[in-house]
Amino acid sequence: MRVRQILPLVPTRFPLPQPAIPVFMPISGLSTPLAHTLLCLIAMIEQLFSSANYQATKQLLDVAMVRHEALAANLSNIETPGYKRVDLPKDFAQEFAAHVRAGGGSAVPTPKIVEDSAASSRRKDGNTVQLDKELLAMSKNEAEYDMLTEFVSGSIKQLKLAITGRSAS
Amino acid sequence: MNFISGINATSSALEAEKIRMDIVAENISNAYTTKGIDGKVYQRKTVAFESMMNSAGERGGGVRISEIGTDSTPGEMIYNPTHPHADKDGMVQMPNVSVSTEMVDLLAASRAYEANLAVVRNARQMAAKALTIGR
Repeated sequence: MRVRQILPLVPTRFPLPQPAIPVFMPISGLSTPLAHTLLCLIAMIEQLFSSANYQATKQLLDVAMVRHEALAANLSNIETPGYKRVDLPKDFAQEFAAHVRAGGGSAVPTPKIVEDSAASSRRKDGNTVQLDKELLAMSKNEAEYDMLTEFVSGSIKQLKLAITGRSAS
Repeated sequence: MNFISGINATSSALEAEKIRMDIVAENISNAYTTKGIDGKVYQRKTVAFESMMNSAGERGGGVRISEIGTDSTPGEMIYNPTHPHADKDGMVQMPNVSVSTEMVDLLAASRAYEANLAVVRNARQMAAKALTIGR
């Protein structure tokens, strides 16, 4: 009953595109303004999860995982003579930025582990892994991962807040 | 992709460093072995590391011990006529183990082990963080 009292406050002509989802039985059985409101809300949720930022964040979470794998490989080979350190391609960040700037329409650049040709070493065994640099890169990668999870969490929390009207504790 | 990324590389490194520490322990414990099971003086063992490809066949795999070799440089001869393995001139062939070299190797192996443990800790924190998404 409370729902019926609140819903008329929501503008029935909400300026949002119609969602591209089938209208399910419970919705189609409702009165027109109520169904329209619900459809608009669903469209908003869809928009949130398909926004360029949200999609880019999801992809960057995977990228952080791959980068961690590369750094783990470097640290595991810290004593292997002649080992060359590996990392994501040097221009990956630019490629990804271009992908995001293009609105996410272009093909997603896939993170690939390649040899880091820019790394030099003064070690006699030809190994280009430097413990301090790898650990720093790893901390940085973890901080980035934390930031990305915070963003994803924040989006979902906001949605929850909008649905329930109270923040999840 | 693993849930905890890079865990294969890290675990292989932990294993390799452990084997290396075992070899160091064997060398130190045999630092005064003048007659091994083959009847000869003990020769110190060395390990060789080699990197591996990951499961996708690209770079970024772990590491393994490719070979455990023996160091054949002769150890020093000391004069000790009371030693049961002394030759007719009273000289004893000692193993070519230098305890200080082994200790340095042990420290390096132990630090490398710690570095890899830091990687595991880091990966675990990332995975734990991923589990809190939406909470």
